[in-house]
Amino acid sequence: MRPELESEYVEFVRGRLARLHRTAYLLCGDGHRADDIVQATLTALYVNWKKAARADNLDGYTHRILVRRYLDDRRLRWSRVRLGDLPAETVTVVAADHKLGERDELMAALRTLPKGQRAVIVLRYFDDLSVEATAAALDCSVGNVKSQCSRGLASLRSVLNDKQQLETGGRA
Amino acid sequence: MTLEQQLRDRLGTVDVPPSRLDVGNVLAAGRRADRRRTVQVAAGTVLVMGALVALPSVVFGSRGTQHATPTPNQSATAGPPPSGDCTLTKLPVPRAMKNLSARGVDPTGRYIIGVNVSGKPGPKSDPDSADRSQDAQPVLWTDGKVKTLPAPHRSIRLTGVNAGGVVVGLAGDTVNDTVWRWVDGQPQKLRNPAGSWDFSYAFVNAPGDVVATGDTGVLVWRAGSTTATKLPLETGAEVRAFTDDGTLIGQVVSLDRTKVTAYTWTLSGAATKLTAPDGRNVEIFTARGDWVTARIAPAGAAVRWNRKTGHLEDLRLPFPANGINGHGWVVSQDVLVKDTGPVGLTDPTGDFTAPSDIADNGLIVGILNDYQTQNPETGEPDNQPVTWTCR
Repeated sequence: MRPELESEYVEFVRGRLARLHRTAYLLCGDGHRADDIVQATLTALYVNWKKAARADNLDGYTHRILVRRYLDDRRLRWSRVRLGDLPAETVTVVAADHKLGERDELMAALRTLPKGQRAVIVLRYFDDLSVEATAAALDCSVGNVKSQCSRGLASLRSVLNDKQQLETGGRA
Repeated sequence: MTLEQQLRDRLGTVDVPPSRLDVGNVLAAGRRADRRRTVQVAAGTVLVMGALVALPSVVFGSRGTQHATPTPNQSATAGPPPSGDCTLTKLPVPRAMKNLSARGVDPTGRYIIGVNVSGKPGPKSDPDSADRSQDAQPVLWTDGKVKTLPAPHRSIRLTGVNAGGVVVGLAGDTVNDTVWRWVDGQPQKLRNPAGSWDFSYAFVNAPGDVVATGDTGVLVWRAGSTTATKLPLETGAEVRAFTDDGTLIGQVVSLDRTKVTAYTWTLSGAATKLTAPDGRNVEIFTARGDWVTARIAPAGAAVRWNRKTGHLEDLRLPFPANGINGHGWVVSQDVLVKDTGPVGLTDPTGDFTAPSDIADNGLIVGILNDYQTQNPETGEPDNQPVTWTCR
């Protein structure tokens, strides 16, 4: 790759890496697996950078690759291997921290959603993609995004409502 | 605050484990992939185009032909492994199959299983079911000759084959809820106990017994039987290998998925805790015979060890191991680690390669795909089934 193109790539990665990792983690719920998804995404992006850099919506293009890697992760045998191991001490800390406990509750609720629905929720409400951009990233119809979004929100409502009740003193 | 706003706020504050990626290693990985794509033929590597039928019997069906058992006392070294010792061969593909992967090989190297995946995963496959799995057809190569197996379901993923050519696979529309066995090429549905099941692995050993790990337990179907027995294992048990003497090797994962304890089990469910020879906790990738390859907790290093001799070796692999053979040879993403060290399983044209399994005669099976050509339907490069034979 020509140096100026590579500089553009480095600049893009530097600005997006942390957020892409968070997106991947919200999707798959495993830090190491999230690393693998992001690594595969950015490697594919590097190889196709000349073409990708000319895309009208580079972020959309990148999300499309990332989501595809996540949704299609059954291709290799090790796709279900947990790629990490949390030391026991970390678990204790998480359990003792009320706020972290709440976040874990949300992650647990996200994990119960079907993968496609989870992807819609994460792209819409974490990455702030519009309905149209989410549809483009997932390569599906706008109507499908809307219906998946509605179902996902309905499933997460109880977790979010519980939190709201705590904040408001549990008023009905 | 609206529900949507609450969700936005909370997704932004979820505690995310630290990433091991940085701009430097991302860039290095991109450059490596790009080099693989563009660099010319590595010295000595030969690409043999066309069918495998003409290959000598040393590759297929050579039960008596084995490499000398290694004494792996040399550590794999970091950095790009040398290539040139391995010959890549494209396997024959049935007409109309465009995205076919070789997924496993029996210990003799005679039988290779494959899966042809078509259609898209996720939402567009079926707007009413976001998680409908892709269509997948089962394929078996016998002595290099390809045959499409009868498919009782539109989405079947083969996961195991034994030296007698008995094949096992998983099927289902959204989850893998059924295990199938092919004997002499004919499918048999293996019945589940009552309840809903989502299987992640199925193995068949030399006597023909089948073991599958489901989300609610581990099932065994004895050779010739289609009735399952649920093994009395701890909740969270996952079988990762099934040896020919009937030993199950795997682990128990805690409900919050933060703790892994490896075990061997007998077919009656008797458990023995399995730790690395140095006492550290392990997470099993796979095993064959006495050889095991695993992640050592908590550092994440990939190791191999021999359960009989206790020999332990850090392979320093950046990816999990996909296969190990009866001599302790390990395959991971684009690399074979022999007793003498790593060998690159590269493709002379630079396409992406991923080995999935290795036979005892050294035959490696896997996929080749080309970043340059994307399937317009899936948006992904198509897979081609390949083998490597290594000196």
